[in-house]
Order: sequence, then structure tokens, then C-alpha cells
Amino acid sequence: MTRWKKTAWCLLFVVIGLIWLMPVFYLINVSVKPAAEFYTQGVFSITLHPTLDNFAESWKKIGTFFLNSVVNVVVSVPLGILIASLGAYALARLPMKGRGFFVTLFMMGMLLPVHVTLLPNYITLQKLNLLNSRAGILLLYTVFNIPFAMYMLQGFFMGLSREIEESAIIDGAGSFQIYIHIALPMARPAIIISGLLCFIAVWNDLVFAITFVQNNIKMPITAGLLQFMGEFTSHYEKITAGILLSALPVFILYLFFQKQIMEGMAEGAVKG
Amino acid sequence: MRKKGKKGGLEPYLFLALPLLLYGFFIIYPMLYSLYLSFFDWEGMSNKHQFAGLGNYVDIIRNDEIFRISLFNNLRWCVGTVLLPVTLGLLFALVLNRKRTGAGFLRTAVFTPVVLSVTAVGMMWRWMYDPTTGLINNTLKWFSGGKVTFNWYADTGNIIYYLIVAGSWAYTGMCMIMFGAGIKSISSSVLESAMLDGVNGRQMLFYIVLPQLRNTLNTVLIYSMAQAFKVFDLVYVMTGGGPGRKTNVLASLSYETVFSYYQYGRGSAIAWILTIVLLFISLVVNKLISMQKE
Repeated sequence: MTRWKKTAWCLLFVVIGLIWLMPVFYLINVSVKPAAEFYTQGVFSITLHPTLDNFAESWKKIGTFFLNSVVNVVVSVPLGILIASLGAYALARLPMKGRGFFVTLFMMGMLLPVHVTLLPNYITLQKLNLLNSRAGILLLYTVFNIPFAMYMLQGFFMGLSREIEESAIIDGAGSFQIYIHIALPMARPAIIISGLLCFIAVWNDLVFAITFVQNNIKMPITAGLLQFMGEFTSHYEKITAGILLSALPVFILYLFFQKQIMEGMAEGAVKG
Repeated sequence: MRKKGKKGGLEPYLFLALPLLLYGFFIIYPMLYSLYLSFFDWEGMSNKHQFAGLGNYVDIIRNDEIFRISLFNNLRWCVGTVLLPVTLGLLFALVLNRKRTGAGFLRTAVFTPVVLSVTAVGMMWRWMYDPTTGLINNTLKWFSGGKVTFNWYADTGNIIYYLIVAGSWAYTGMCMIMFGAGIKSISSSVLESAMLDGVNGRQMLFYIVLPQLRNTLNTVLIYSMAQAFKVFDLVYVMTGGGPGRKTNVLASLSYETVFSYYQYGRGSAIAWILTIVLLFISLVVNKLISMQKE
């Protein structure tokens, strides 16, 4: 009886899971279809001779965009987290006036829609001559990583026991030394979670990509993908390969850090 | 050496300086500047600002048909989000709570679309709905021998619902993990003593688990409503707000007004209406939560 029940549940889970991922499987099936088979058999058939040609073809078109996004992530995520960690440490640990005000101020950044900031930032970047430049978009991604990273790190610092820090104070260490040598290394779990979520946010961002970069050479992957789709409307086999390529980095992270990503998202949402 | 307990030293502000400066310059200042702009008539390109007071707001709320459609689309999105992802997410979280073989797979599957970019999700679903190459239409045709067909673009009024379904697919996993965290936080002693009292599964669900999930439910609802008003990417990718601007939501309407029609003042006003709606949601529901605690 119980064994039957167990098997039934398991079967149910697997079937629902497979149905849920149907759009993804459909995409994969088309993306490995040779062009010839695509035209003779149509889209709606199981691919008989899988090939990776479509991926190679679409990489030629979106490779640059992909690498742009790699640069965006590699620069803006660590930088944003580092800057956020300074503020987070101060708000969590150092006695100061106006603490509550600053905490609320930074939290607002997670609640408000980015759309209020688009036009003014567009004008600012235009004035600084940073529109369509790598520096401009990197600056914005870095800054917009701050509110979430700060929220996560501040929560983490507040939960840390003060004992180690206090013995360091007795040994004559200054706040900055304590922050660098004690607080930051201990915050590794929170830094990893912030890093993962900021990575996903920057990699998946579309709004900034279409607003601040109209320049082909510097376009991030999301905007590049849309443009690619516009150019190759009927070459579904290549577009699907492009979509899958664009999702690959985040998907790999997801496979390795599923627990941390879920935890971070759930926690971020509670205050978001 | 740090002086213990003394407030108002300079040091904390040195730590805060850099994050505060960047945050202020690229997030706070833009917000205020956008509010300022919303009181002006400013056709971008030209340099002519003309003070309009609340003129933009009044005109948008009174006369703008597309604004009304967009607002209603956001409301539809809210309702759709509660009906589909919130309900499904709760179901998944409840079912997957107990350790069963296969539960991990289902959890991974349902959460996968959450980490994909909305751009990819939107392209995927355009493609799911496509009348000639789409999975849905072809499946219908295959099962019905070609009799039943489906064209998502045929009836303009319905397109927004198809967008909501696509969005729900991508958002259910988020609700699932929020409820999952809530279920985990129910103290095990409560559950154990209930079991000792011989409570059956259904009683456990309705009299113990669900009532304890009330705060979580509040959080999920407030967050989901906010998300439903912030929607932009999916609309931009799947329809661009068309056809006939009828699938716009507030965010895409604001974007379109600023960057396609170059009406800077008006677009800013729409963005601020969206902001006010979001503030209202968070304040009202927060109040509900605090009332409950009394």
C-alpha cells in the first residue's frame, strides 16, 4: 500500500514536472534540428539527426552580445557588492545618528519601479557622454546591485556574534581593519547569495539594455537576442539555439547553487 | 581605537559615503527629478519646458483611453497572479513539503523558469502560441485531427490573458519557494503535538498549517501585487504593447510615452502614478498585517 502510494506520488511529480518544462523541451528539440530537416519535417516533429550546427551559427550572431554580458556581470557584480558591504557594515555595526533613516532610504530602492529612474538617468548619461558606452551601463548595473546586496549583507552582519570583533577591538584594531579582516571573510555565505542574485539580475536585465545601449557592439545579450530575432524571423532553429545559449550561464549557476538561489530570492521577496 | 557606544562619530559616515553617493546620484536624485519633470510639458528633442502643474496627471486620468486600458491590464495581471501562480505555488509548496521521491525534480522544474530571463521566456511563449509553428496549436490540431485551431493574436481583447499565462508560468516557482519558507517556519512542536492528538491530514492542513501561513500569505500577496504592477519585460518582448497599444501596462506605457513619443513630462507622470500605486499597495497591506497582530 505505502509503496504503491509512494510510486504514484513520484510518478505524478515527474509527469507534472515534465509538462511544466514542455516549452523548454520544445525549444531544445527545434534547436538541434538540422536546417534541412526543419524545412522537410516542419517544426513539430521529433528531431531525428540532432546537430549543434544551429548553436555555432547563432553564436556568430550573438557571441559579441554574450561576451558583453559576461563583462557586465564580471565587473558590476563584485563592485556593487563590495560597495554595498561598506554601507551594510556601517548600518549593522557602527553606532551612528540617523541609522533608521538610512536603512529605510536604501530599502526604498528595492520597492520602487526602475521606470521612474530611466529618463533622468538617460539625461544624466547623455550629459556625461556615457550613453551607448560600456562605462555607462557598467555604472548603472553596479549602482542598481547595491540595494539588494546591502539588504542581504546588513541582515547577515546583524546576525553575527560580536565576540570576535570585540576581542579585536581590545587588541586595538580599527573599524576598517575589522571590516576587512573579520567581517568580510565571515560574510562569505551572504556574499555568495548576493552575488548569485545580482548575477542573475544583471544577466537577465532588459530595461537598461534597451534604454542605455543602442549601439550594436556594446549591446547585452537580452537586447541582442531581440534584435537577432527581428532579423531572422523565420529561422526558428537558429533563434531557439540563441535563446538556449543566452540562458546557459544562469542555468549552470542554477544547477550548482539551487539552494542558495531559492533562499536568497525568498528572503529578498519578503522585504521587496 | 573605537570609542564604545559613542554616537555620531565620523567613521560610520566614511563607510556610508560611497554607497550613499552612488545611490543618491543614480536612484534618489532621478526619482525626484522625474517627479519634478512630471509637472512640466516637455516634448523631448525641443528644449521647451512649460510648467503644467498637475496638468499631466489630470489629463492622463481624465482623458487617456490607453492609460485606462493599461491600468486595467495591470489589475487583470494582479487577479491572474492570485488565481494562477499564487494558488499553484501554494499547492506545490504543500505537496512538496514532505520528503517524497521525485519532489526535488518537480521543485527544480517549477523553479527553472524563474531564473530564465524574461526575454527568453517571452520569446519562448510567443513561439508556444504561434499559430503555425507553436506547440499549443499543433498539439490541438494533432489531437483533433486539424479541427480545433487556436490563434492567440486573433482576438485583440484576449491577448493580455495569454501574456498573463506566460508570466504565470515564469512566476509560480517564486510563490512556491515563498510558501515553502513559510511552511518550514511553522514550529515542529505544534505539528508534533497535533499528530499526537490524532489529527488527520485534512484537519492538519485546514486547522493548523493554513492558519499558521497567514502572515506568509500576506507577504506573498503584497509582493505578487507589486510584481503585477511592475511588469514590463514580458509585454515588451511579446507584443510591444500592441496591437493598437491595447496590451500595454503602466510600465510599458510610461516607457513608450518617453522613448517612442518623446513626451517626457507625461511619461514621468505615468511612472509616478505607478510608483504611487506601489506605495499604496505596500502601505495598505502592511496596515492589514499590523491590524491582525493587535
